[in-house]
Amino acid sequence: MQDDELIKSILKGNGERYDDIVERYQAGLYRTAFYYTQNVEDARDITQEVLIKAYNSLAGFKQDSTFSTWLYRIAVNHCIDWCRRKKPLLEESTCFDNLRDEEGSPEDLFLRQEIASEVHAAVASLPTIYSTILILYYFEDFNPQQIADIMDTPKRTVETRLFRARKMLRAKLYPASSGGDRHDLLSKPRQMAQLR
Amino acid sequence: MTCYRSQDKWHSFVKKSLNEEELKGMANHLIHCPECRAIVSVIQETADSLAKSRVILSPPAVIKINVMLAIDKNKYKRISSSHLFELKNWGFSMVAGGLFLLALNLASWAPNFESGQVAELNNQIGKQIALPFDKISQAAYAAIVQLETITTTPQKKTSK
Repeated sequence: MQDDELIKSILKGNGERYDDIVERYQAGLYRTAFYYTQNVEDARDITQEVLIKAYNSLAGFKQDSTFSTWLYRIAVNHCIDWCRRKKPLLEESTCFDNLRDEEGSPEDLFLRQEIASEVHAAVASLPTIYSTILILYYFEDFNPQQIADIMDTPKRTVETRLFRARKMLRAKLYPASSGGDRHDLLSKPRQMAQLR
Repeated sequence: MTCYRSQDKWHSFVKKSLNEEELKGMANHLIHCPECRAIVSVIQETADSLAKSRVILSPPAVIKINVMLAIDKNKYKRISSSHLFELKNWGFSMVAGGLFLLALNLASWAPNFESGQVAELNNQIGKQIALPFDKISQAAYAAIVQLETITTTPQKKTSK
C-alpha cells in the first residue's frame, strides 16, 4: 500500500495502520539520527520521538510534498534541535554490520570501523546545515531537490552547500592535501590512503 | 562548450543522478576540460570515502513497540466521529427548535380550527408575528425618550 493511502486510512481512524509506516521508515530515521548523535541510545530515542511526533501531527500533513520528505523534515529539525541542546557525551564505537561482512583480517575490520567512526565524527563536527546535506545526500541517497524540500531552501542553495560541505569535510579528513596546517583528525595517513 | 564548474552539478554527475542527456553532455565536457576533470576526481574521492563509511544499522525492535504503545490509535477516530457528532447535534437542534415553534403556533391555532373560524387564522398569525415587534418598537421608543430626557436636562442646566 502506498504512503498516501496508508495515511488516509489512519486519518479515517485506523490508527493501527501506523505500524506499517513505522516499519517502512524506522531504519532510515534511526540511521539518520545515528549520524547526528554518534550514539545508538540517543538515535533510538530520537527515532521514537520523531515517529510519535509525526503521528500526532499527521492531520497537518498537506499532501503537496511526499510523506517521506515531510517525515524527514521533522526528523532533521529534531536532530538539529538535539545537537543544539546536547553535545554527545560519549562517542561509542559501534560495530557496523556492513563492515563486518567485508573480507579481511580482524585487524582490517577494526581499522575500517575506526576510520568509518572518524569519518562520521568529522561529518557530525561540521555546522549542522552542512552535515545535514552530506548525511541526506551521501548516506540517505536523497537528491538535491528532495533535500531542498526537506530543508525548505532552494535547490541551488543545496547544490552550493553540498560543494562547500564536501570541501570542509575534505579539509577535516585530509588537512595536508587541502592546504591546512591543522592536526590530521584521522592521524592514520597510511590507512586512510587505502580508503582514498 | 559551457563550463559546468559554476553550476555545482558535478556531485549529481558523480552520483549519476542526472538525466541521460545531461550526463552525456557533462561527460563530453570532461574530455576537453582538465580543470573540471580535477574537480570530479576530488568529488569522487570524497564520495568514495563517505560510501565506505555508510552504516547498515538495524533498528532495535523496541522502537516499533514503544511507538505503537505511545500513540493514541483512536486519536483520529475520535476526531472524525466527534465531527460527525457535532453535525448530528446541529441537525437535532434544528429539528427540535422547529418542532417547538410549530407546537407553540399549533396551540394558538387549535381553538380556531375547533370553532371553524378559519378566516381568523391569518389575523392570528399576523398578530403573533406582529406582537413581539410591537413590543420591541415600544420598548425602543421608550428608551429613546429616556435618553433624550437624560441628554437634554444637563444642557438646560448649563444654559441656565
